[in-house]
This record gives sequence, C-alpha cells and structure tokens, in this order.
Amino acid sequence: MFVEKNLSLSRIWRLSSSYVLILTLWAGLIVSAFKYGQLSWLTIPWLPLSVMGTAVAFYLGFKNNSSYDRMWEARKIWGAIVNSSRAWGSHVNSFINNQFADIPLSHGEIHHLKEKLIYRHIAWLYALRSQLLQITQWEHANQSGRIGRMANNAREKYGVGKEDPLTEQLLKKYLGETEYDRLIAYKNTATQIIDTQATDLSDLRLKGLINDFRHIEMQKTLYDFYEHQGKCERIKKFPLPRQYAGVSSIFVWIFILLLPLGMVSEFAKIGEFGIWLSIPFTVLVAWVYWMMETVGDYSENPFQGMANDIPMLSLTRVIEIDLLEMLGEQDLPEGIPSKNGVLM
Amino acid sequence: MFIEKNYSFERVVRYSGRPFLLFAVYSTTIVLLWEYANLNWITIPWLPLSLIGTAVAFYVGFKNNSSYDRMWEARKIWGAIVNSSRAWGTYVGSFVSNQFAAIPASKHELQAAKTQLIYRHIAWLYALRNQLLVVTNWEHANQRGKTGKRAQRYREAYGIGQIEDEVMKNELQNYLPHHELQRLVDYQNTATQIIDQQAKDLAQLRSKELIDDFRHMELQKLLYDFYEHQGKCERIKKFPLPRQYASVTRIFIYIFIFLLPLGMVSEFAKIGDWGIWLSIPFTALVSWVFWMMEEVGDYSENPFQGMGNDIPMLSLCRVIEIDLKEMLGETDLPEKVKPVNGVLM
Repeated sequence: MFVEKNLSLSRIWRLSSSYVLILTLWAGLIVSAFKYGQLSWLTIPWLPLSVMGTAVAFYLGFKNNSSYDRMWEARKIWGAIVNSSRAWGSHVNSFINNQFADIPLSHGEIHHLKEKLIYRHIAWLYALRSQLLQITQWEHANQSGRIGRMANNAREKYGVGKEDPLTEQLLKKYLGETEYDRLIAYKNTATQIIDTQATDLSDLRLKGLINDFRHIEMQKTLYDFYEHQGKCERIKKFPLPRQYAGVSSIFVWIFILLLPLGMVSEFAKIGEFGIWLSIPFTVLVAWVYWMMETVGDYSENPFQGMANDIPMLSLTRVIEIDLLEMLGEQDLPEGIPSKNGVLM
Repeated sequence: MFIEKNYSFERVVRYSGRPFLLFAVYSTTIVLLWEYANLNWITIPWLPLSLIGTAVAFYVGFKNNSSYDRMWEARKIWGAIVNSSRAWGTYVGSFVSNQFAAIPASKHELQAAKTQLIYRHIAWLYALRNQLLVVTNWEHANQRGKTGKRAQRYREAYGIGQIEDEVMKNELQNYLPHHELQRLVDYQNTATQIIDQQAKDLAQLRSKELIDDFRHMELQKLLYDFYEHQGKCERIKKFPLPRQYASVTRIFIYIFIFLLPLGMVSEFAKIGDWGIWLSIPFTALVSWVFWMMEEVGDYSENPFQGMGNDIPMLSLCRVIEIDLKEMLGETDLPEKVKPVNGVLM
C-alpha cells in the first residue's frame, strides 16, 4: 500500500520512462514518414480516433473499477480478519475458566491453555499471509522479460522474495517445534491450524473449562476464520477475468498505434512546424491512456507482494500486538513501519 | 459534515477563488503570447484535448464515486454503532437481574453493575472517535505547504487539535473506573482493550449468576459487533483510496488544465478577432470545473480527518451518550453538539 498522498514524479517516471521512449520513437517515425517519405496517405481523420478514445476510456473505466473492487474487497476481508481475531482473543480470555470444571485447574494452567489458543491463532495469520503470497500464473512476478524482472525485484525488496525466514521463524515460535513440523507438512497449513484449534476446543469442553454455549460461540468464530481465509483465496486464485483484462490492454495499444496517424494530420493544419509539435502531444495523450491501463493492471492482484498490495504484514502485526496485550504480555513486537512510501 | 443545503457562494470563493484567478492569468498569458508575440505555434488542435478531457472526466468520475463510497460506508458504520449501542443499553438494562442468582445481589449492586457496563461503553465510543482522528500520512493535515496549514487550521477550529484532545480526556475520566483508567489508556489500542474488559465483566456477571448462559452469549455477540464496527472504521481510516488511483487523476487534471488554453485559443479565434479574449473566461471556467471535481473527491476521501467533510462523530457519540444515560434513569444529561459555521462535527 502506498502511504504518500501523491506518488512522487520520480516513481512515475521510473515506471513509465521506457514506454515514453517507445511512444516518442513511434510518433517520430510516423512524422518522419509523413514529411520525408511523402507518405501522406499515412494519415487518417480524427473521427475514428475520437470514437475509439471514448470507447477505450469507458472500457478502462470498467476495468479500473473492477480492479479497485478486488483490492477493496481484499482489504475488507483483512479488516474482518482483524475484527474476528480480536473477538477470538476476547472469547478465549473471558470464556475459559473453572466455573464449570469438575477438577479445577490452577491459574497458571488456565493461562497456559489460553496462551496456546491465542498463539496458534497468530500462527494462522502468518501462515495465511505466506500462502497468499505464492505467485500465481497471471501475476506480474511470473511474466517474462522486464515486467517479470521488475516485479521480482519489488518482491525481494519488500521481503517476500523466494526466501521467507520471517514466517518460518514466527510459526516455530507460535506453534512450538513439534506442532510446526506436523502442520507445515500439510498441503494447506492455515486450514489445518484452524482444525487443530477446533480439536483443542472440544478438549476444553471435555474438561469442563468451557460450557456448551461458549464452545459453540468459539466454534462459530473459527468458522468465520475459514470464511475469511476462503474469501482471500478466492481473490488470489481467480484473476480479473483475463478476457476482460487482456482485451482492454489490446484496445489501448491499438489506440496508441493509431494516435499519431490522426494527430499528424490535425497538427499539419496549423502550419509547417505543426507536425513536429504533434510528437509531444501524441506522447502525452498516449501516456494518459497507457497510465490508466497500467494502474488498473497493477491493482488487479492485491496479494502479489508488490507496492499495491494489501498491507498484510502490518495488519498481522497489529493483531499480534492486540492479542498479546490481551494475554497481559509486556514484551511486544514493534509495529511495521513503511519503507520508501510503501507499507507492507 | 456540511449542513447548509447549498455551499455558500462565499465559501466557494474563499476556497477556489485563488485557483480560478490562476487559471485566468495562465490563459491570459497564452492569449497575449499568441496575439502580440506572434507565437502561432503555441496553439494546438482540439483533438488531443477532447481525448484527454473524456478520459479525465471518466477517471475523475470513478474517483469521486469511490471517494463517496468510502464516506457513505463510514456513515453506515457509525449508524450501526448507534444501533448496536442502543441494543447494548437495553440488553444491559433488562438482562442483568437476580432471576438466576442463588445469592441475590442488592438493588444497588445491580444498578452499579449496569452503570459500569454502560459507562464503559460510552468511554469506548469516545476512545474510538479519538483514535480515528489521529492524522495519517496521506491526510491533508499531514501535507506540506498551504494544504497542510489549512487542514491544521480546520482541525483547530473544530476543536480537534492534534496534540491534546480535552473532550477525550474528560470523557474517559468520567466514564472509566479509576483503577482501570491508566491501564486501559496505556494499551496500544485502548478501544480494543475496553471491549475486552467488557467481556471479562460479563464473565464475572455470569459467575455471580446475574445473567444466564443465553443472555451472556447475546451480550457477548454485541461485543463482537462492536469489534466489527471498530475494525471497519479502522479499515477506512488506515487504508486510503489507493494512492496510485488518486494521485494519477490529479496529474491528469493538471495536464488537461495545462493544455486547455492552447486548444481554446485556436477554437475561439474562429469566431473573430475579439474571440481570443473571450476564450480567457471560458478557459478559466472549464479549468475550474475540472479542478473542482478533483478537489471535492480529494477532500471526501478520508471521512475521519477532522475537517468539514467528516462524519459527525462527536455529535453521534453525544446522541448515544444521552440515550444510554436516559436508559439508566439519569436526568443530568450533557448538551447536544451544535453545528459551528455550518459544520457539524
């Protein structure tokens, strides 16, 4: 997530410099051909351009809208994870006690049980985050050429490259070595962590440390976590339909390729030098359309480990701190600061 | 929240008079260059303008739509907070009783337990409001230059200075028990831990059998609702309208405004000699319309930033406070919050 109000010009330039160069060359080529190659049949009237420009703007509007919706829904789900996690902490904290127990446990033993349920939940958060950051086929990090290289560099920079020492370390800390070894072997670790929580709950019920009402409420919260996890996985594993996204990108490129042909003839009307003046203006208009397309394109996948991501690490840390404070712990981890205007 | 039906003309002038003048000056410069410096090449055909204008209008439309959505969702959440809070008041009022108690509590004890649950809830409201007003990186109050200064002035004027908030301090002192106050305030997220404290109180009531299991669970579900409302507010507060969308619109608008007089001059020149002079007010007007669309969206993005477009959290808190105190049978009620200069906070 970008945290600066305005993206800096240098960031925008870095993103678009090579495209601006290509656009300039293309516009320059057309103008030169018009001027020196006597290819005046090369130009077209502005009508098809303005019709197409409007259509493309509509289509891009739709794509950007859907793309933003995916992102905002992803953020909503993570918001819901925060809420349910706090509720889980509060449930664990106030539901588990000796009131209904046949053999009362000591204060220390009860605290240990609470700690286990809350720690395992924190482990679930980190596991879920790590699973969501696996690269899918349509994400930028899996593309060939410059796009893929840029995406992989970004992932390395934001600490979600091929190695993920943080997740491993924290999972070991919060699960304990033995449980870690068992759970990490599963295909979907996060799913099985929640299942282990459910097993623990029925164990607590058996010992009379919670009663039926509380058992069912807590189990419902676990169901909520499955829902949140599944919703995230849905966004992760189902892209913005490629037929929509791909077509819009083709439209934009066709429009950009035609643009100088129409611009040259319009600018030629204002004089001899006009055709040269058409180059910067062609580049500017083309850049605006390209930029709209690109912003939508990079916002499609909110869990791809790049700057447009949902800040999962920082949210996980916020929950971690809240839950540890509920347990009464004093030794809290630091919140995640933003780096270079990006919060992960 | 603005409460006048129409933005007063004066507010509009105060707000956008300067940019309007700037557009007029810029467009005059272009006309002068064209007329007297013989810079004919300075004008451009209409085509690029119509392409960029269409694209930008769409894009700003999208941004304003999303921006309004954020604001309306924020208001919905605060509406839900009002509803759940009233439900909390009646639940506490009617659920806590001696019906299931082996050792009945005195009337006084029951009332004290109810008062504590309701007062702590009011404290949660004010704590939440206060947490939501902390300035984030992308809000106007955190910007450099004129934008930031103006936003700061607004915040001061509406009684939410950045450093100390008297309302919050007083309310928390009034509504939290003394032995809890310091501990709760010291937590990283006070509102979260206030709700957790409520849950502990409920468990205690259950162990004293002043509520039974059904009532306990219903009350606990309401606490979960409060966590949801709080989390939803925090989501809007802590996740801006994605900056890649918002700041790109702004650049597009600037590009459009930059190009506009260049295209306008040549179009207006077609209607006669004096036409080019006529182009000045029209250029300024069209620029102003695009700029204003952008600004309205920009200032509506963040509904909890302590400025005129905010959700009126203070007044909603006070409404709930009054309702809950009346449920407790109290007669010494605080005043409603009144609008200041056409803005209700």
